[in-house]
Amino acid sequence: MRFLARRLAFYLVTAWAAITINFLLPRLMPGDPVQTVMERFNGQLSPESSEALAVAFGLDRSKNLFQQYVEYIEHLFHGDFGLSFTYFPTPVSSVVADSLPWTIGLLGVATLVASLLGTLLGCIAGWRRGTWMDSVLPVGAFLRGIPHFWVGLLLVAVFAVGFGWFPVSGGYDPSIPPSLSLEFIGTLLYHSILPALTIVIGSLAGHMLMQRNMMVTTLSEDYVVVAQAKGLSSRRVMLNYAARNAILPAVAGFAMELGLVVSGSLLVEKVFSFPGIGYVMFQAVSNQDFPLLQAILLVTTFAVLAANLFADVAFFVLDPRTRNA
Amino acid sequence: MNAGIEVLPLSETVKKPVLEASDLGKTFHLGGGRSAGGHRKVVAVDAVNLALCAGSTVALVGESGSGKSTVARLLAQLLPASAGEVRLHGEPVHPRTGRQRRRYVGEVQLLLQDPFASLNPVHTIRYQLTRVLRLHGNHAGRRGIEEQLDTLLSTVQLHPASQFLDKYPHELSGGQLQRIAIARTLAASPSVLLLDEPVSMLDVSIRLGILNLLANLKQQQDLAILYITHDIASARYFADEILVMYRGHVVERGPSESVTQHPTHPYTQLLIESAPDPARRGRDAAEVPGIGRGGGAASAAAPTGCPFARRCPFAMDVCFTQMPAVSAVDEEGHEVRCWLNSPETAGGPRH
Amino acid sequence: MTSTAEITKVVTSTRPRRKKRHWLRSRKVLIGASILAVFAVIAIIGPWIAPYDPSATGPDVLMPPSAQHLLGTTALGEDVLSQVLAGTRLSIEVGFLAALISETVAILVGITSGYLGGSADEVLSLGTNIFLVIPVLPLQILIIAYLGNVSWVVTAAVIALTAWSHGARKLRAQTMSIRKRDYVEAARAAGEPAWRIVWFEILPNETAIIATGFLFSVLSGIVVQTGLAFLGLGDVASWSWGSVLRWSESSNAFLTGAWWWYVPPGICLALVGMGLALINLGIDEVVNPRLRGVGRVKTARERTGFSRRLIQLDHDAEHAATTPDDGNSVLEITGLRVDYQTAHGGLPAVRGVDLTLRRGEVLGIAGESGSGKSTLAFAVTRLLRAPGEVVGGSVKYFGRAKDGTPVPPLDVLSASQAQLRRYRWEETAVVFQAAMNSLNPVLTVRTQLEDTIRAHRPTMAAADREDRVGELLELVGIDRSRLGSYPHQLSGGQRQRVMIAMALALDPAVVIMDEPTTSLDVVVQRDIIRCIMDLRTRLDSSFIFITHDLSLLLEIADRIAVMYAGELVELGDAAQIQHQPRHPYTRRLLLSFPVLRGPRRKLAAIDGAAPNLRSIPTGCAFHTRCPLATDICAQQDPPLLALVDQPGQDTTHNATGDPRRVACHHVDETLQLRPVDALIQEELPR
Repeated sequence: MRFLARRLAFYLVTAWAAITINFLLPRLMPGDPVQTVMERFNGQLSPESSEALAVAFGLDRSKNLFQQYVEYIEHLFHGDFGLSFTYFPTPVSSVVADSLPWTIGLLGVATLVASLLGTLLGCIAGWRRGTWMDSVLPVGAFLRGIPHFWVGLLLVAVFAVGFGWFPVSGGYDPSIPPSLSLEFIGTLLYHSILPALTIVIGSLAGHMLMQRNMMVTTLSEDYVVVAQAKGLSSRRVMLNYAARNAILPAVAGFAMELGLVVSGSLLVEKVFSFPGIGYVMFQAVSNQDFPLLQAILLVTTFAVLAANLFADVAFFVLDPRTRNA
Repeated sequence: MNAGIEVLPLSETVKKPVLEASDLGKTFHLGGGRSAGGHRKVVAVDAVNLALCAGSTVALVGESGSGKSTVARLLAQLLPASAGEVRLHGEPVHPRTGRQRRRYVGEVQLLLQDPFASLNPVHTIRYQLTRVLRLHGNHAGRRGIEEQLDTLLSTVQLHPASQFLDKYPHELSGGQLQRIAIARTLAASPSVLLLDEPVSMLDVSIRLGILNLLANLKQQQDLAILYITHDIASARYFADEILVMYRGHVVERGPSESVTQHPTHPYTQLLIESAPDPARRGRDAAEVPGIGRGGGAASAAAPTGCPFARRCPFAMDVCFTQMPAVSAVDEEGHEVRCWLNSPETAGGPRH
Repeated sequence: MTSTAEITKVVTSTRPRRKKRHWLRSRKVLIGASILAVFAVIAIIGPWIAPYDPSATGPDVLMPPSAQHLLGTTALGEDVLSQVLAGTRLSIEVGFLAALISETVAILVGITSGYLGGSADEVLSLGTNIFLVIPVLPLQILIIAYLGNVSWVVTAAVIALTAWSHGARKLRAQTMSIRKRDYVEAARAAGEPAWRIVWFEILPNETAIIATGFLFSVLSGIVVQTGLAFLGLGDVASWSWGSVLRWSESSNAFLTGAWWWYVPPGICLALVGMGLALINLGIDEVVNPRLRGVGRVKTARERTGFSRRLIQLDHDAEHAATTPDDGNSVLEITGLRVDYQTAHGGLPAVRGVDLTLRRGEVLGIAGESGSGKSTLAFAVTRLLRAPGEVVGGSVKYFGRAKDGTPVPPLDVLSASQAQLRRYRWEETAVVFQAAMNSLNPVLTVRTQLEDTIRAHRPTMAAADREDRVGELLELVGIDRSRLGSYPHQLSGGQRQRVMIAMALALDPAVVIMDEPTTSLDVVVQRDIIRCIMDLRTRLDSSFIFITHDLSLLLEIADRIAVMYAGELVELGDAAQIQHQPRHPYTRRLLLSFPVLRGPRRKLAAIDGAAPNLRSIPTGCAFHTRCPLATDICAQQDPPLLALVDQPGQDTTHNATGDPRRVACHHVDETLQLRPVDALIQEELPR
């Protein structure tokens, strides 16, 4: 339990750090941040927008920096991120709340599939090292360098535009009212296949290569030799002895990968105009919507932290050494 | 508890110790980490007294976890001591600046266990030896250095030097590497050598060669040597005096013949009985001595009392509650820290 | 374990001399470097060799590739090839600069944190981990959005300042492990100042990791810059692969089928990525030798060819002196040869060993590292892995049916997989050296013991199995209640007992113990020996006990085989070996063990060291170290001959009538030497 408690403490500190970075960033800009932003818009922003910025930045000139900081955190706890420029005058919190489920659904499923599939393939490739399976190395290396969004472009061009099998963009058919009906879920899945496939293809190779190397390293461990000497079936040696240990570093290193995967996947949403955080982020960039961008950074950080906590629980379950040390 | 132990040198002429340690102690604070209960204190070394004299060898014998290597690191100033004092030539040692530390380590050199690990794989032998020569105030020119390298290597019986100087460690065998490592300690012209298991990683057929080499060096250069080992037979062979350590405490000490031929502490007896003995061949397993089942380093020591009490076949009630004091076994400086030998409790349930 | 350690040792020792630059020679590194070199050249000369001005619009809009426009044109009629060529520079510049900055930060943070440890480390590694977890893209976007229209240098700096944490994390871990290594401790003990230790002792050992980290950073820098440009952030007016993609996307090129517009930049990225990844793979394989082609798996055809060749060799081996099967043998090794295959040919690890294991005996095999004793054990159980390969000889197992009647002998080296699975563990079980590594850390003791039984007795009821497993633990003196324990919850001695219990699970006829007590303390070793000797009286298995400690064998073995440089040099009863060793090596070895009993005396060391596999001396391998050596010893390898009875010598035959065997040209002279035990008892002046 101590292990989990420590991890939890770390996530709290990280969350606090992200909040603080968010608070400090606008203040690092030369001059008055609100003024600077207003100038960029050539005075086209309404006074309300100015107010929104002040809230987003936690900028109340009547107070000192520390009071501003406390107030900023207070606002955050009430879910008050100010108003979005892009979707003015919608509060940032509701823009984020509307788009977050899309991203979590898409990314969650795609990342899970990619890591499970990649781990499985990596284990098999490692087990069968020295055969044709070794060719996953250069192929994987090639796939790894490609940005996710470019894979998305290709898939759209081939399967959506070329063959017309899938919709070109969007998260659902607008003619069907959003509800929990089978019809709507169907269109949802239909629209999600290509973006999900993009993310899976984009991140599969990384998982696979890492897992293969871990598997090969584990295979020369003594307990694997002993398992073979004991006359266990190959399947049992591979699964219970080699793979069972080889996945531990992957689970532990999940955090390292996730930050990158999330970053890569956000761009995919733009390619498909998929109504998640990534798409909103693109809109925010185009409109210099700082309140929204700030909220996105916080929300994605929290989401990654939550995912990491799940990975930690998995590690805790998988590795007895964490349990009672 | 910390009875000041007078160490009687073996030879008849009373020698002045070169390096002394009194009441030396080291407590490690294990970080919160994953250990239950947060910070944990581990007493690795508790009130150890020893004196190293020129031209003689003291052996520190114990199992893994006994704290014997920690003693070497304390004496080499690689770890700060938690308690006690170290004196070099009678002067208390407090190296604070880099220069003071360098002067100290120039006198007191440490030889490590694994020759494959103790030489940096990316540097040539020449580089590694030259560094130590230069560090310890050798300002000779290139030719002078070259001559000294030659001498050093021939001291450790590696000739011709040219065959070794430009090699990388992975190109040499374990025995050769350990000789190089010895040459590296000699490059500082030390007066004290601390040997941490210097032969345990080497093949059996070359161990003796290294020990004999070290014994010769001791005589030629009048070195004071601390020999740390788990092998009490080699301690008997190599050392004049033996200190037996158990869980940070010196439990028995004395001239090496006396300690090995008349072991008094139950732990020393156990150590000696555990060594392989062809005379026992063909005897029934039950006759062979040993400790109770499952015994091992894993069981925790009693919080107070003798650290060996839990494994001791002769343990009495007092052993679990009170730490025994040091008592003399004979007039020759053979001492033991055991209730069985203590005047108050002697003649306990023994034999 | 010995096998892996030994294989790695052999592989390492056969590496070319200039090992330091080895990774530059790997084929993967060469291909990767060539790809990168091409792009580096394009980055430099790209803008000059571009056929058109990349921003010059023209009338030919959205033209597919043609002779005028090799990669077609954009919606504005610009030349795609020129844009890609010109864009290469910026993409690579940003990647390179970002990598330079982030790797510098990573080195500073990682090494400081790893070397200093303590609270400095806690703070730095907390910072590192925070940056590791925060998703970088939203952070980069936010910073660059605040900064406005920034130059490529600023873009690179922002990328670097958010991406250094991966490298720092790896370098911290590596530094922490190097800091604990003996050579750093030795440098500190020698009085080296801290900065020199970091710079000259630690840093040079991290070049591979730093190189890998740098390459990884270059790639991620390029990819991030492409992503940012794709979103329209940073310096979008200049050409880069990302800005080409951005304009193609915003013109809906992928909806109109203008693939030539958006495919080339992606291909370029993938190629650069592949080049970097190949170099990384090459470096990884050097840093982690296990990843190298050690584990080549043989195809079925190779395997049959392999056994056919063995059968042939087997016939040759018939000529060698073998003891006729008197029903008392359980394992018979004849003319066994094992090579380690390397790029420079096979290195002989076992060079023709003949050895017979009798029923119910403890056969000790003594030898130093590299003597081939462990390799022999692995060959006998067919557990040898590449690059180790049996190249000759045979291993026959004489099994018995349940009622005790002999069954036809099994030729172990050409046994089928099914036969092998039965042979392993049911007939021959192994206890390896390092018990910590021999037990699977994530499974309980119960599961690992049950696994063994379930594999061979699939029909056994679960309750019986549970019963048997508990019984096994008690057999080796561990309480049944420890069944639910994981290996890390046991002490070293207990783990080795569990391994012994596992070996006994199926009542094997043969138990091979490879250095079972070597890594244990002497008191624990005694405990394990006691356990083994106790089992020996209760079970009727035969034991092969392999160790470097000849004095231990003298106590516990019935017969002792002494190995030197891959050959058997002497074989005899323990008493014979103890009192009158006949091979000079055995003799000198016995005389070089300090003893606890008898007078304390000066011992003479054996000169030189055991040869390594690459340079085994001609003739008798021991002749370079032997005091009795003459010319013939350097020329002819003496065969292992049975000693004939000689007057005045009563120990040439043991109780079972086995002749004593010695491989020495001067075996008659060794008879004239004084008995070893007399020598040991003799008082000599010190």
